[in-house]
Amino acid sequence: MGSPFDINGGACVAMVGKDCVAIACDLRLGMQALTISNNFPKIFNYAPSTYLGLTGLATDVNTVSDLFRYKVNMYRLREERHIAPQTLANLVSSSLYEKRFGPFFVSPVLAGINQTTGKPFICGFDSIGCIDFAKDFIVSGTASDQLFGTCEGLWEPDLGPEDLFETISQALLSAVDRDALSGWGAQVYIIEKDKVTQRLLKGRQD
Amino acid sequence: MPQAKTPSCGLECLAAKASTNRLRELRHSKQLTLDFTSPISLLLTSATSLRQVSPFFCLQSDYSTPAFCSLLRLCTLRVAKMPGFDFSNYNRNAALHARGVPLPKATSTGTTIVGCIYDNGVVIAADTRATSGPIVADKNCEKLHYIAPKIWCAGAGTAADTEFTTALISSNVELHSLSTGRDPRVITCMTMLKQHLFRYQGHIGAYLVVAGVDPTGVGLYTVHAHGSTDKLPYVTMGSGSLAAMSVFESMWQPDLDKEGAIALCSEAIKAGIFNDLGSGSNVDVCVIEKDKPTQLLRNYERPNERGQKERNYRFPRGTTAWLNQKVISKEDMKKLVTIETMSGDDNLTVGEKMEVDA
Repeated sequence: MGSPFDINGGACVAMVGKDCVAIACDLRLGMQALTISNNFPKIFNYAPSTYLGLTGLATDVNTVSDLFRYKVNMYRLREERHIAPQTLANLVSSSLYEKRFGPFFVSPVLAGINQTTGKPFICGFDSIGCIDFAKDFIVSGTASDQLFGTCEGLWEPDLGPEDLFETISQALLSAVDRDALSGWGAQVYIIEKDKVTQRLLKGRQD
Repeated sequence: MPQAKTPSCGLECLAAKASTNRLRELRHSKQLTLDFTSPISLLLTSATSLRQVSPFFCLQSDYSTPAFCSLLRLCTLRVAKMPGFDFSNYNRNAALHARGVPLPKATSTGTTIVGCIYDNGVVIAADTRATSGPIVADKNCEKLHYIAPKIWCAGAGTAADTEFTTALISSNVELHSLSTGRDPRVITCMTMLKQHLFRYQGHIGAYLVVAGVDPTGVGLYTVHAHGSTDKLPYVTMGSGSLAAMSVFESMWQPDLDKEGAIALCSEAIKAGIFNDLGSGSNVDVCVIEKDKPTQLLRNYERPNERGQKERNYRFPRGTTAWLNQKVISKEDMKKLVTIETMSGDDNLTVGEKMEVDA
């Protein structure tokens, strides 16, 4: 049997632009080579401009996304404010490390804009909570090797929201077309300070 | 007595909101003291406080209807947590592993880290590459960890383990120095690290170089994941340790000054960067000197700067075909929250202040 990370397939990528960030994922849910669904989004919203992408084993994607919904709700009730992306990053990290010796098979990607500072923020995690702070882009999922290539080639600093949309979309579509376990459409979020645009991409269905 | 409302939706929220209000009341009446200041304790606080408060709460609160109590118990059961590692997925993962599923790939810092003492202090240095198998996961990560103002740690091995082990020991070292009223010692920190790592029999994959200055002088140690330690005038660790040690063995002298020590450590890291595949990118340096503030020289040398791209691959707008879009504006976001202005209640501000021992 293959790695639990490769059973269901899926890919996710986040990128930083000028005063904006973008996060995108594919829509496939599979069981090895058999595609079960082409409508399985992997990006979840936790605060008005904070999104978390989860790739890996689908059962854990569901468990972990619900776990963070619960934890973030508890935070919001106690603090009476929305969680900042940096705070969520530390929450994700410590929650995953708590399960150091029995991890969830997920690789989270976080993207958001800090409402206090107005600064874009992205980071990625391994399955046991090590944070990867990046200034440019974060990739995860079965197409991560391909995404590293496309992002390294296509990304450039200070892209505006419209240009960032084209860059992240093309990076993701090109990568998932070379991964048998990812694809079947894609979803992109462009996050600006006071606006979030969600787009459904037209992708190959094979 | 207010009746518990039928929980048609937001089951947890109802219970949680009631309990947080109750918590707040308790906090203000000084029956309960909670510390919400530490971000890391945030979650544990939520878990443990609910558990501690709920029995009392069910008996005494206004919400003590059976329906609500069972709701809360449900909520509490899910919340109840012990501090430390959680092994709840262990059996599932072990069963999968027994059926031939490989273990997950953790980010490792296949690293070069070094340390070197000089006449008046100590220098530690690290490269900045993080890897996941053959993939470079992070081109500019930080491997120099803070323990105390004059004790720092360089970490190799499993990245999450070095990060969290040093954070834990840093926290305990601070508590220890607060309770003893003395500056923390490097040997104390090294002992705490080795005892922690030995307890986990090498399963916590942290390989560390501990360095610092304390009232007893300069300290430089290495700590292995299984708990063994070394005390030497110059040390190297990680996959690039052989390359780095070759530099030390050929260039180290017993009477180094600060500049000499920085240059030597930097040279040793560069040997790792260029000759070891697990190490790369930049050199980070940390200088800890007697009676001087510690200097963290992030990206002290950047020998691997990427060349400027001659042309760009920017796509014309409209390249990507999309089927539909949804725009969530700030106005829409506001609809999802209610804003209440708090009254200038004195008790409230008292509750938010940090309590100091009388």
